[in-house]
Amino acid sequence: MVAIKTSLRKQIILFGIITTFLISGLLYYTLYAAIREGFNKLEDTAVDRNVTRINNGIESNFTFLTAKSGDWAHWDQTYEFIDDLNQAYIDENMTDDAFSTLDINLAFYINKVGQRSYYRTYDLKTGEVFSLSEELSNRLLEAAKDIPEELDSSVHGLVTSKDHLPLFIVAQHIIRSDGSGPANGVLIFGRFLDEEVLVGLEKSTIFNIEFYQMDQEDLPEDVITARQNIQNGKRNIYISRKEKDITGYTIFNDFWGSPSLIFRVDSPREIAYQASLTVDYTLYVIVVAGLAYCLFGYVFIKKVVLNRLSALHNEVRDITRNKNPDPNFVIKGDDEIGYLAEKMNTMLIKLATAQATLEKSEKRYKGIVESQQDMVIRLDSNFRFLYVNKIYSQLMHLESDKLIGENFLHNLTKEEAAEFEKEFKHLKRKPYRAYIEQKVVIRRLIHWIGWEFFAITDKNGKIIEIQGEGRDITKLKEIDQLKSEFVSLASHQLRTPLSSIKWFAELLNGNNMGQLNADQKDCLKQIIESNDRMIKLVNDLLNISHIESANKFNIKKAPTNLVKIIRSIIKEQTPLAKAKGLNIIFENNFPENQLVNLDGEKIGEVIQNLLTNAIKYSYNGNEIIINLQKKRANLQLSVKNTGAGIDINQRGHIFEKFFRTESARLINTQGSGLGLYIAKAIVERHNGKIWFTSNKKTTTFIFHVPLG
Amino acid sequence: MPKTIVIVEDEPLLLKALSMQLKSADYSIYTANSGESALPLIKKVMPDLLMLDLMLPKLSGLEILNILKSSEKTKKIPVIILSNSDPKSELKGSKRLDIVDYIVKANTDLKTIAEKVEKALKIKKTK
Repeated sequence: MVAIKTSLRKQIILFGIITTFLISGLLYYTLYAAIREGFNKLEDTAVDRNVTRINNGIESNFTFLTAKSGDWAHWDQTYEFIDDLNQAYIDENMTDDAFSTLDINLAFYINKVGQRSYYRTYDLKTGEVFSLSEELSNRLLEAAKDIPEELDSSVHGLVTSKDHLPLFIVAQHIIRSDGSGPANGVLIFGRFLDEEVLVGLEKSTIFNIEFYQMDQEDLPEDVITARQNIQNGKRNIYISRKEKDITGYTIFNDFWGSPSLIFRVDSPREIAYQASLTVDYTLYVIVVAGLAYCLFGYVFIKKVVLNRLSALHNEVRDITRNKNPDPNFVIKGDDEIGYLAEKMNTMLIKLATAQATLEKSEKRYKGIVESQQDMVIRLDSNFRFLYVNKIYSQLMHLESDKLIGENFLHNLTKEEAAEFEKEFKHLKRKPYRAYIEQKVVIRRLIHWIGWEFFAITDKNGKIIEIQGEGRDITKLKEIDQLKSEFVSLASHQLRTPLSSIKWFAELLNGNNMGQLNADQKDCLKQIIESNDRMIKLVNDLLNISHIESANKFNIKKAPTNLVKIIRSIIKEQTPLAKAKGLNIIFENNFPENQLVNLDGEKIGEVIQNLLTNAIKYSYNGNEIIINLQKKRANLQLSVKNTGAGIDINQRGHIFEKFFRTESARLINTQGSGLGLYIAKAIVERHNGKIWFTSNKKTTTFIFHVPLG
Repeated sequence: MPKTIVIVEDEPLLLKALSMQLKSADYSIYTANSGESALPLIKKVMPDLLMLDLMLPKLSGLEILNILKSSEKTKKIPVIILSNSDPKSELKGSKRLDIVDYIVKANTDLKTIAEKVEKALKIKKTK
């Protein structure tokens, strides 16, 4: 039996879990990828928007500055102040309040020859006035040169320096209030990118904004990366994602168009977080749903398949452990398993019944074997005992236990063993049977045992086992002896006086003793015929006794000229035929002198029987046709006569011993009913066949025997 | 000179009938009704043909055959077996014997026997 290594239950559970996780993983990955992609785009857009907002915020600063500086630059008092630098202008306009109101840090006046004529600073937070670095001052002078010549034109931009915060500036020509020139120098308003400005920008983006100067020495790593990416890329924006934050970077050029500031906007990744949360929840739901499905599926499969299969399995296991099948074993359901269980159980019960019957019959058989008076033995192919019944061990004075495994031939005399071995050779060929008679002395009396051996062979004809049945045939032998004596008596004691009558009648009939008159001749003929019938009867009886004692009825095949035999039989029977006006025709289709291997005397007897029957039952004045021919590998002879035919009801008995048809009794009262029985026996002993065809006009008896 | 035939047959009637038939064919017939008397007769006459019944009291036909065949002098005498049983089975194991014919007495008429005798004697002549 094959052991169950992995039960179906385990396989199904394992399959369910693996599939659930695989599918979940796949779904998770797909969802995550899809959602993240979408959300990333959203994030990018948001970051873009924020960067744009910073730009817009900065631009609006400039617009604001331009508007305010325009009021001051296009003003007659300023126009005059640049020439005389009067104290009144300074006292009146360059006040802390004015700077606070204007929301500027710097007013920078340049005269028409491009020199700084006046400036004032103001820290909007602390209210302090501070001095400008030489560097910044020079850069402002530099910037002022870039104003186009048109009177109302202005320039703006971002100016960075080492000592100050980055400065938003707007520079405009100083002209009269009515807009007329010529331009009398340049006025620059400046606003530092201080915390207040930054907060203003942050308000527009709602996120935290930081900025760095491009040439700053202690730039953070991420800013350096962003700077490189922007400078190498096409867009003035770089986005970097961290787990919880997304950061946008953008570079802002200074007044002269060189990159000078880099802004950084940090925003929490709420969208992405939401997305990953969504994905996580989804996954969670999928896994839970998957496991629930598995569980449900398992419970269902367990109920519908596994439990029932298990019951089936247990039933089968019980059977293999030699328990009887439970006749009430049922697996409910109209499906395949229910059907299978029902059929299997039916089968098992049938099997059990068959087994029980077999056991019973085996017991019975064993009982018969043990109790019968015949010896029964079983031998293996080397003639070693496999089994002996009680009778054998008793009669042979041998203990059955000790016999098993012993060689059967070893308990025999040398001569007997040789004879058995010789006969055992028949077991190797079809019909795998052997018959041996063994003489044994039992209780000081001679007994004859007739052994019938039968070999059980495998497909290839190799002997597996030999079964032997030994019967005490002493009585049969005695009867056989008596029969032989009777046969001897019959043949000698009956035939001898019959021979005397036959011969003396012949001498008389041959006129050796003088001429007989007609009446005497007639009487003598009656004597001869009666005597011949008597001889025929004795012959038939002898034949029967030979046929029935198998050992004696031997045919002796020898090369025989059958045609010659037939001709002599015809010659012998011709007088009888002539008496009825019958003509015997011999149609010979067989070579005249070819010898055939058969028992000529016995086959002659068959032909004679058939011919005398044909003569007896022919209507007077007809023909009897004997036909001899070769038919395939057989020699075939037929005897056809014209007569009443054989009664349909009696055809089946024609070849039976002592059988005579009613019409035959009417026609000829003297037949013994043995002729055809003997003929059949002789033909069959030649491995031939005899049969007949008959209708109301003709009857043909046919037999064939194998040639060669 | 007529051919000599010795007939050994214990049934006197059969012996008589057979002798009568063969004498008419001008043979010299000698008869014996037992095995014991047959042997000296055969040796004395040295017949051209021996007709021998197999079923004889005491010394059987088969034994006579064996004795004759063991002697150089008599072993070439042709023999026709006279029997009323199946002669072939009775002669089992005596292949060496020079038997010319078997006759089942009850099945054979005298005329046929005479023909067989004539034939047997002719065979001897040609030898």
